[in-house]
Amino acid sequence: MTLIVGLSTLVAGAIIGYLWQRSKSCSISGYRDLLLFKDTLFMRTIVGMALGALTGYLLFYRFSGAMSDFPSYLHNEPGASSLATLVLAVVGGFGYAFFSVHAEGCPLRQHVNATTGHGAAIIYLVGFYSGVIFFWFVVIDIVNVVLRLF
Amino acid sequence: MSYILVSIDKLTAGFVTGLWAAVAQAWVGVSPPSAFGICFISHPSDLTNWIINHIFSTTLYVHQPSVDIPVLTVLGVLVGATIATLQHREFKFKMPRHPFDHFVNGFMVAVFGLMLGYCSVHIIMALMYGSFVALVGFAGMMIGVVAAVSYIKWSVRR
Repeated sequence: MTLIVGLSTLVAGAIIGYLWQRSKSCSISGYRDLLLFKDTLFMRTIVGMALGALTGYLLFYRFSGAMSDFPSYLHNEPGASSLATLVLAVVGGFGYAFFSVHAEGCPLRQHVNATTGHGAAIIYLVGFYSGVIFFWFVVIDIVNVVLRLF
Repeated sequence: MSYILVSIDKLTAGFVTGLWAAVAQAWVGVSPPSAFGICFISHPSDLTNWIINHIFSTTLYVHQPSVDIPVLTVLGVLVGATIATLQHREFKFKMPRHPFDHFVNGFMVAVFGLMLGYCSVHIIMALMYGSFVALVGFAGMMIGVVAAVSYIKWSVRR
């Protein structure tokens, strides 16, 4: 089963990478362009994702035990009742969006851009993976303290 | 040598991405967490931690689907995007003017993204599934976008 997960995510990733490269899609520029220029072009990606996810969920939750009843927050979502989790979600969401707007793209967009020789995206990814390592070696201890506070 | 120019609509790319999250969960078993078929915060984190764990015998956290073999979405996206780039001869190396700014942006996105537990793609899926945590995180994200846009406007006017 794990081999199937690895292979399927590799193949699906390749398809998504190809589609996002050809469509110049981004999941954060849509909000920025809408606010800054009143331009809705990049919002098409976000609307497409929302429609795809909703269609998939409504189709599959009826046929598969892997999906909980819709909508999932009515069914004891883990962490939904923890104030610390919600505070971390707000702070994390704020920082993620603030720096993604400044980076001119979401992490998926930056991975795609890096393959086109975009130096900014390549350096972004060096910082990104450094950030991942820093989080798991340093920041996670602070997060755990916050989670115990509330 | 001629080549076929492929143009894909953003709506289509987004729809396929959204649908994959549900297919991955229902048919492939890429869960928990919910809608884990694609996440460009957790998947890069799982891959990085899995490699570090195997090299240095550490016990850094990886999500359940990545315990034995990590989710390989990141590698897949790099392969797919490289194929598209080479097919359309779009590779052109260009150095940025302020490289450190890009390093910092990437670093901070990873740290805050892991704090949130979602990327801006995954959070849309979770939002459509009706996740309350995703709704709260999305609200934080929208405040972040407004703050960043306001800062950009202020910087331009200054």
